[in-house]
Amino acid sequence: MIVDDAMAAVIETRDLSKAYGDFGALHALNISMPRGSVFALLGASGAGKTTTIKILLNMIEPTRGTATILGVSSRCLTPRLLEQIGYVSENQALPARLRVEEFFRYLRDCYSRWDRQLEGELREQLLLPSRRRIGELSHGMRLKMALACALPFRPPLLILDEPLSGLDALARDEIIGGFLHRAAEMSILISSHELDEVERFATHVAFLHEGRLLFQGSVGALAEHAIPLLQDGRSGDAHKPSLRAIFVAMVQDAKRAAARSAPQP
Amino acid sequence: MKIRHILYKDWTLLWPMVALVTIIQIGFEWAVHSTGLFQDNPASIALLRPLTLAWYAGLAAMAAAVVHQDTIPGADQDWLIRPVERSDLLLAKIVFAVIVIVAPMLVLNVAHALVLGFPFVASLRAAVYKEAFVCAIIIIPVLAFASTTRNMAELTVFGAALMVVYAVSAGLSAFLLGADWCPTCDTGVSWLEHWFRHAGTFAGALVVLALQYHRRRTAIARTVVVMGAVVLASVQLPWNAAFAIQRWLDGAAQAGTAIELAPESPVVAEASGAAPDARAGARQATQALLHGDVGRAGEYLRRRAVPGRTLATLDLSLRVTGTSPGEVLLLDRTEARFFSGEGRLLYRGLNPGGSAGVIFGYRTDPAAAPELVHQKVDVPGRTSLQHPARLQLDYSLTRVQVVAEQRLRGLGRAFRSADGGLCAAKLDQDEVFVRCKSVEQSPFCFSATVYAADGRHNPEILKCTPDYRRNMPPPTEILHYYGIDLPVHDRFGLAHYAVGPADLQDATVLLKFYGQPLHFKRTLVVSPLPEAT
Repeated sequence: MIVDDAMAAVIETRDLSKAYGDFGALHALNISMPRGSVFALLGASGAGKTTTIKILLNMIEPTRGTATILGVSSRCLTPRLLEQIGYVSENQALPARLRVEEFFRYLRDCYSRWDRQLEGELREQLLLPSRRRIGELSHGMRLKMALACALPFRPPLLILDEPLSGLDALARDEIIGGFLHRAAEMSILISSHELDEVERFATHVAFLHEGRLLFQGSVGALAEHAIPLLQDGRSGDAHKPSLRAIFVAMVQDAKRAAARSAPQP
Repeated sequence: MKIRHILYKDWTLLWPMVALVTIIQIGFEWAVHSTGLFQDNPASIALLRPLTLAWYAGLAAMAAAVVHQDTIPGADQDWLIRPVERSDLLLAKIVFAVIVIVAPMLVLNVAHALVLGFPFVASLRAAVYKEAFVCAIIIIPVLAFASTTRNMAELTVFGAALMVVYAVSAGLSAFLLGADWCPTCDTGVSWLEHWFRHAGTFAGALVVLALQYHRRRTAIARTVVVMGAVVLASVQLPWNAAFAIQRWLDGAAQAGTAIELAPESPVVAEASGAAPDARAGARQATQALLHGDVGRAGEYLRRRAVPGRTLATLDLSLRVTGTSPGEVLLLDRTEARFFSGEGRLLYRGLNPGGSAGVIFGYRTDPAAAPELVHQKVDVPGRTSLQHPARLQLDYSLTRVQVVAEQRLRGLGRAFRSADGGLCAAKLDQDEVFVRCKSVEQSPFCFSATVYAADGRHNPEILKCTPDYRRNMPPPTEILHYYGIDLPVHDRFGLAHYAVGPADLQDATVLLKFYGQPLHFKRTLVVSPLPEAT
């Protein structure tokens, strides 16, 4: 594992573990997300990305270990701190019977630093229908609305949990454009299994596989780290490796290592 | 405190349901009002029962729905990632319930009382007290219970499971405790048992709400709910403690009394047949359960466990001395114990012969001799009486006396009394029906006498249902009802009344209200006991 960034961390976990009964969803996860980065938490479905984010936001408790977010333990998140975190998730349970306009009205009173002009710009940019009920929106429209709700209070940290899954190319571009347009103002943590899309904008990546961290660091450090793996000739082009190729190589390497360490019959 | 936006959101989502619940409340209040004192409106009577059910269901569903807008269990709720103080969220839910459930109820209750002519201040005071009571015993517990579930389906399943847990706990407790299960049930102090249960439920609800809204500990909160149900179903307020609390509450009147009980004639014992066999015991237990009488079901099951023992019945005549005219003696409970010659307890039973909650003495004529009352004691297993044995009867008694009188004139019209509230009398060929509504606690003991214009009068009719509560209102309305039927004619000709139907035009009814309860105990020992014949 390589950590190559000395910048102050906005998110940090120490030996973070989560078990559901006998199933270990996370195993002693140690990640550090630098301030100002676009940090991609990557892995296949079930790798532990969403679990990590839910622990970070104190939605669920860790079984072991600690997580800090903006310098505060995730177990002690206060409303004041939540004013500094934008969150978009495909699983977010929004009030389905509320109209889009009504939900924005509700949120305006939630946040002390809500920027109505920015809200207007986002709603216009993402073409959100004000009179439609949230439950009547398509999946992509719901995600766009969640994004439009997560930005007007100008959070220094934006967390996006699988914001691209199940979206067509147009909707993906709109979502990505939506948050990248303001990426300079904030740090962004994005979890995804859409490696090709994430490759376009991530500055840092962390690979998760079956609840274990395979790698974390900057994209540049990742390429260096991956070259020996790719030169084995098993995964893609070693000179210009894609995120997907590196990820596949790392997972295969991890599987081989696990097979080697498994007790022989 | 920032709750306005949460209230706005919940209102936007729930206003159709709020409208429906308010319509139910209006419909219920209308049905209550139009039923009238004499329940002579069949349409409203027919509506009242479903509307009462809808009233309870609407209240509970409304309170649960507002909690479910921002559920506590789960990890995907939107409020978790919003800058919302958890105490604000809880406060918003409570305030919402108060605004949309309690406020309309208060307005309707007061309006109903005002329409009937009750004073505004008294009506408002009664309504505020009653709505606070509804909040404590229904709304807060429902909010707490709902906070342990994600949605209505989960709430329904968990609620059904909880009812099973409660029923099993109550049944087991009744079987194990036998006669001691619910010692205060069907007595004048049963309200204390209810009060403690309500207080326990309220305290448990506060614990659950704190666990859920401040710690999000759903598993622990659910455990508290289940354990609470088991405790509420199993733990009983002991009789002596309840009676002592009631005495303390009525402290001002707890002077000594000269009332005594003494056996008047030799005790008669007779065999009264076999006890129910095992199959009959099971059948009786099932029937009792179907009627919701868990205590009796437990008693039948215990008898089933020792079937085949014959019953003996002791018949005692007791003379009650020391009562003054105008005083009523109420029997709250009798505990019968048989001891062997060596002092070993052979049998213990409660309220033999169904003797709880009855009028035990009432003397109207000062010159009349002290009253005789009869006490029957059933003993399973008369063989125990063949030994030299003694019977000890511990009586818990309450004496009440006249505290107010009211003469109702002009029968057939509604009239208002300072002590009785709004009353009306209705005449038919055989009886005068007197019915009253009050915004205060209704009297539990009162009498009525029909007087002709020339002073002739029929026998005083006394009605006492021991209930020593300190104003515990029914959840649905602020009005209390009571009434009495006064016969003036026997269509079979067996009884003759001094004031008959022909005299009713100018007749009056004298109402007497009894109060200032004085609670005391007396012990009676009967020894030796006769052989059963």
